Amino acid sequence: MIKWLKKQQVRSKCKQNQLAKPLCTYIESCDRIRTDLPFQENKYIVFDTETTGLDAHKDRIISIAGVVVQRNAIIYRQSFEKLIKQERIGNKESSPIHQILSQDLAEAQAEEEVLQDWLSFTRGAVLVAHQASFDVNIVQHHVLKLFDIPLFNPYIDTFTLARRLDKASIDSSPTSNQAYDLDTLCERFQIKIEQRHTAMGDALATAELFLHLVQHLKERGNQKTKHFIS
Amino acid sequence: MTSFSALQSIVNFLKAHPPFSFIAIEDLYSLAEEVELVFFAQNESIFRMNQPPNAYFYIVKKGAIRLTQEQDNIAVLVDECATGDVFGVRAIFAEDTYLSSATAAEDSLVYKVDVEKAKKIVQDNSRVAMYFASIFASGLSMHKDEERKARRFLVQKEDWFFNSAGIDTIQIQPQKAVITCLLEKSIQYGATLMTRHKVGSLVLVNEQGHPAGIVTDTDLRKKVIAKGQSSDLPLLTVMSSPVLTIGLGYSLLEVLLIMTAHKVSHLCITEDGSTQSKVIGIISQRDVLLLQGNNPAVIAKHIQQSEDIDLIRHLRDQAEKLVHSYLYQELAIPLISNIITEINDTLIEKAVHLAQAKLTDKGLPPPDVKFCWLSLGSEGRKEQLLRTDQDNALVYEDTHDEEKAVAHRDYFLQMTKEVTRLLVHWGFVECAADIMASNPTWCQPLSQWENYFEEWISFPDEKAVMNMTIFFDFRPIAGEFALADRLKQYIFDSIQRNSAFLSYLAKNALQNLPPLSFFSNFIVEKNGEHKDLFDIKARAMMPLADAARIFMLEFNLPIYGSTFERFEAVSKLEENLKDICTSAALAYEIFIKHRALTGFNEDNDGRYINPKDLNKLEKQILKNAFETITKLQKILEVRYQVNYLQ
Repeated sequence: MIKWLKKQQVRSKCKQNQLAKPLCTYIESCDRIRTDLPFQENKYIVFDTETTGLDAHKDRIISIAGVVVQRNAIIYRQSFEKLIKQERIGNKESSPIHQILSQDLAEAQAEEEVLQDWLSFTRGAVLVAHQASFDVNIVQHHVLKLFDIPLFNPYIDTFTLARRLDKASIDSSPTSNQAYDLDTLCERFQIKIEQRHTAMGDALATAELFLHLVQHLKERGNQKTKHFIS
Repeated sequence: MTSFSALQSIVNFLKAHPPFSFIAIEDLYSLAEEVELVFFAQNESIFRMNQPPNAYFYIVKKGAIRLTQEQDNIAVLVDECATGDVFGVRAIFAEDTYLSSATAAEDSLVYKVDVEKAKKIVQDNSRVAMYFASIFASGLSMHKDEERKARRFLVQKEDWFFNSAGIDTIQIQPQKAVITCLLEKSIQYGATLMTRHKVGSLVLVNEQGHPAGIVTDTDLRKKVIAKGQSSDLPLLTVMSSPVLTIGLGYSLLEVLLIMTAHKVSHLCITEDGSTQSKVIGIISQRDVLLLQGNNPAVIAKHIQQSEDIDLIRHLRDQAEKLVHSYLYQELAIPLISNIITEINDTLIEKAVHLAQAKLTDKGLPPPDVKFCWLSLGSEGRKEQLLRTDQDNALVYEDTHDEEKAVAHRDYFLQMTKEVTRLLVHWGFVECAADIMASNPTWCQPLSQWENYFEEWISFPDEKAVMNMTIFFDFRPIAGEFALADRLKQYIFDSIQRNSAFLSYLAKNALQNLPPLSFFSNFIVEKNGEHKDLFDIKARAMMPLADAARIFMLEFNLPIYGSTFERFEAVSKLEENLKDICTSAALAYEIFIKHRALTGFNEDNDGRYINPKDLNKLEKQILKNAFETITKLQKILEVRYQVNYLQ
């Protein structure tokens, strides 16, 4: 409800020219997405982030990557991958996973610049990620902080799709959740993850997983984009 | 916007799979930009037979794609592509409709590559283009339909079938050993049955004995072994079905036409010709070829039995037509040249026999020394597909008696004159350079031949080298073959003594550089009768034949072999030369076929081809074959230390 109000507020700002043009273009393009269209008529961006931790409100994004999926095809040349310049990113929990150290961020861009580009890249696209709420939330948190707008893209969670495919109940035990982590699912669908725990490596694997899941769910009568939205 | 690492994932895949593994990494990145990964659900269609080509070709990343051909609304499996296999690639070479339909056999991820954009990258990478073309040319197919298309690339005439001798009259017979097996039996059972009965195919039948499918060696190899499929599964899971059936009473010609039209290699013979009756036999493409193979044998036999020189001439013409039809049927060149060699050899034997008989009639009986008729040049290498010049010689035993020596000489000269006269009558043109046994210089006792070779090997001047390319390829045809063997051994020994000789020969062989600028600028004759034409003999075939000859001499190959056979023999003897010899043999096959077809079409020796008459695919294939020559010449240069030679 609060998010809905925020969106309305931002939309009226656009109408009154109180918001930067690129942000308004992003918002309008997302508002034009019609989730009641057949699935293949929308554009999807499968993405992943590498972060300093798992708290969407406290942790920071180190890198973000996405690739376009349209008409059942992964379109590699329409892809995005950037490192974000952050101070003191090293920590015991996440550093061993993403293995990006402060010194690797020499080429990185400022957060504001990267997220602004990200919003342009994701114009009019449905976002897709594995355990998407975390990635969407952390991006949204920082977008809100920097630009005072929420994310307008609808999003799809491949984790949820996989569970739906197996009709697994949402509140199942942690052991069964493990069967739906990216590694296990990729193994199940024989998807090779080229560079696990890099944003692009995971995004590409998720994109392949997405193609598989969508196909199987389509066979069960889910034909429209809205049938997949979380 | 493009992420480097997104492209990297494609590049990593491509570089692990030929032919993309031959492309430079930076080019792979440009190629990757044109690649999309598409998901195809099981049974989803990618393209359909007879449709115009998409703007893409495809590489299987995961899963399996079936290529099928529809016949009377039934799909016949042509090939199945797995990870790394390329399909739909023909669009690069020929603008034509698809010859098969591609369907996902299971859920599959397929890279699709924009042809227009990829074209340049592929064409700039000759090894990639070579890969595609060599697949076409070698029969090591990724995709049978495309290979077939490519193999057909030289066929222009529609009526070739009707030129061939006899095949329209020979009736097919059901093969005695048709082995049938119930559909439900296991793959293991079927394989055992095939092994026990020594057959390459099995007809699967239902309980009524009606044919339901065929399983061949290839099916077992490709669908069971290569895929790690369990052999406990029923045979019907791997069979090709439905079966094409015919009844009895068809001619070989009709059988061939059916096989060609439906692009199948087996036909099942049933009682009433339909699939709803009992199986009584099976006929394979191979059977047809073997049955046809009887024809040259029959012709050769007729030649042997005949004393009528005009009838023999007629038989020779008939044989030539047969060869013509073989070429258009795309039979393997070694097979065709073996057939024509056999016929030519029979003719020569016949000519020698008739000449001796004639001399005996005139009161000149054969002397008591043995002789051996030698064919030289391409005839000696068993590579004549057309009637080219006569190149031959005669060697006979020495005698110490000078008087007898003169008598022998007179006799053999009279004999050779008669032989060459007969050969001319039968359509072999006289050699312009007079390298014929009827020339006294080339009608000599063994000791004189040894002198000739000793001279050429010790003092290889330019003229000697030219002679050598003809004379080193001698092959015994009639008379006492041991004389030829002795001469051959003498040559090997002499080369041992003159170690620089092979280097000299190699240097000479390198002078005919292949036209590498084939595409942009064909190397053509600058003036004269053949202005603007390309000399395929001098520029393409000779460099290969020269190399094979040098290898033959280095490795002391005892065979009187063709260029292919020489390359083949060397590839078995020397691991280092295996790859190059294999591709060289293939390249030679391409050239010889090209030359033969040009010759037939223009009624000449096919030596000159007009680059304008070549289509894109032909140019591509020729260009690739030229690359092999370049590679081979580099090897010669190093192996025989040509650069140290002054």
